[in-house]
Amino acid sequence: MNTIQIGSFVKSKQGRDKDNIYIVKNVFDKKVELVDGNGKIISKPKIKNIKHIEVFDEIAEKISVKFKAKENVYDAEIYSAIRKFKNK
Amino acid sequence: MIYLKTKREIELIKEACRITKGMLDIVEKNIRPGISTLELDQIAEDYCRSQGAIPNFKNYGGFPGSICASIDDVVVHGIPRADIILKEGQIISIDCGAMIHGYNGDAARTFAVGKISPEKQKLIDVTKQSFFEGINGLKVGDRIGDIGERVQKYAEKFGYSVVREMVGHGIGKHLHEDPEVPNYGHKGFGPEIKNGLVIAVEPMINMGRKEIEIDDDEWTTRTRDGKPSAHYENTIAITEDGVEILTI
Repeated sequence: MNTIQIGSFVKSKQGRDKDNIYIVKNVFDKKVELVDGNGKIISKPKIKNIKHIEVFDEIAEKISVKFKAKENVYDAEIYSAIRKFKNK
Repeated sequence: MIYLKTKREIELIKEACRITKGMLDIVEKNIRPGISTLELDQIAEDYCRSQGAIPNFKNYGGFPGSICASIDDVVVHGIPRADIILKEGQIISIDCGAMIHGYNGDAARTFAVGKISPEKQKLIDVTKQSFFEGINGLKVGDRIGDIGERVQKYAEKFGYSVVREMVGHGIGKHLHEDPEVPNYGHKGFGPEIKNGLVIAVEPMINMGRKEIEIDDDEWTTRTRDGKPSAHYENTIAITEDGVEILTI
């Protein structure tokens, strides 16, 4: 399994959102905050158990840096980064 | 940190705003089917420099143009390009600014390219009016949320939506200063408006849904539903004497 970190692209393995792609906003003990810029927005992230996600090795670099520096990130940036990731 | 401006500083900002308005005027005169957005950019930059000012968008955060040229579904931050040629029936938002004597101006307008549909014209008109609704009666002691609530209520009456991610801002020595000035919100909330506050109020109104996305160039911001968007912005100063629009 790839190491999970802030900015990682992940896929839901379980739940009603199965197969949805997210970016990791925050990592807790065994849980993560996930955003997709489209429903699961920065001000209202989805909280999910780490066991229920698949972590890709790719990271949204710019978004990761901004999250870590607590800079303003737009939901549009998240949405567009995921769209780009899916189109690869 | 909100920096309130002295009368002397507001006079300097006025000069930057006069040139900013001049940039918009000269671009408007040149908008026609067949011209590229890069040509419009060069016209605006030449005018700005001819006035002894610096186009403050150029290289701001790496932005390559002196103007943002945003066509139809592009909300803001359209990069001027030689291969983007204006076509009859489009709408184009021009956002630009000038810096002189260390102070900045910032303004935006949405223009028609040739003859446009009544729907697009209405979007332009409502967006412009939403700005005036937003600042109507604004005075020292009010809150920033008062502006947003009025903009939002007015625009949504027509079935339009207000972009959330992009907001207005304070302006002065820097192009973007505190406070943020959202085009949505609630009366009585947000920072208090004090004597000497100078802000750019800039409604970005979508014909369809409010959600936006960003192109791979990491600048061009467009509506997700592909429907048109309009933009109208002025730099304003609020003092004990009332509101003064500096870019008109």
